[in-house]
Amino acid sequence: MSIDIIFKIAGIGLLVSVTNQILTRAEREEMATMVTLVGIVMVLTIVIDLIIDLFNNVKSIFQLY
Amino acid sequence: MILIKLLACGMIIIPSTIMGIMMGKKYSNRVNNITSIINCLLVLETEIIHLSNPINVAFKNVDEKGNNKISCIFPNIVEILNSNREMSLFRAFKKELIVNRTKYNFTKEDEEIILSLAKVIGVTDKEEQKKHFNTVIQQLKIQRNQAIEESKKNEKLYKKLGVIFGLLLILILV
Repeated sequence: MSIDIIFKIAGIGLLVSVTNQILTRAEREEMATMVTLVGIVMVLTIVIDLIIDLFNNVKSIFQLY
Repeated sequence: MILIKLLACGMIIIPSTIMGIMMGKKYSNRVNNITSIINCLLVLETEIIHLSNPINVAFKNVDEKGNNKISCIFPNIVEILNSNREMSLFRAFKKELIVNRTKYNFTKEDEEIILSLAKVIGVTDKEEQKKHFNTVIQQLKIQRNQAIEESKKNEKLYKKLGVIFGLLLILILV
């Protein structure tokens, strides 16, 4: 696992939170919620492979077959 | 390699920023256009009520005296009417507003207000037309106030969103 992915997620989190603030100040709460959701989905698509690897490792370590 | 990456980043962020600015500009354009059309209608009212000019002369004078982005509606309508003699003034107005909808940035309500005037120009007597002119100008002033509020809210928002969208795209692609 490279460190880049952490920076990428941090960057997305930063931009999503800034967008959220801007949209909330412009009285567009629904859009702000949507942007937050999109951010979560984006981050999830990035980390999904890592989560799969983690579960596989847990299974192999504890011999849960 | 870094240079190419920077170049690509620039190629992403600059268009997205420009897109944001353009989307924000729509709102300020609408305010300017409503102000212009109010001025044009005031000139048109003088031409019709006080000078009793026929429609084609009145419209040409409005274009000359108005001399702004919106006043070109009037000579365009005269052209439409000249090219199709059977068309009514209302339909010519409607056609012009629909064809150049993206240029004028009017909303449906603005268009309806302008078209409500087009229905009565040249059909009723002077007093009736004067009343309609006053009503339409008042309605347009209300629309302008709404447009100013909207532009205050949305113009900055779209500019910021354009930049943020570009940054997000760069972050995902890099």
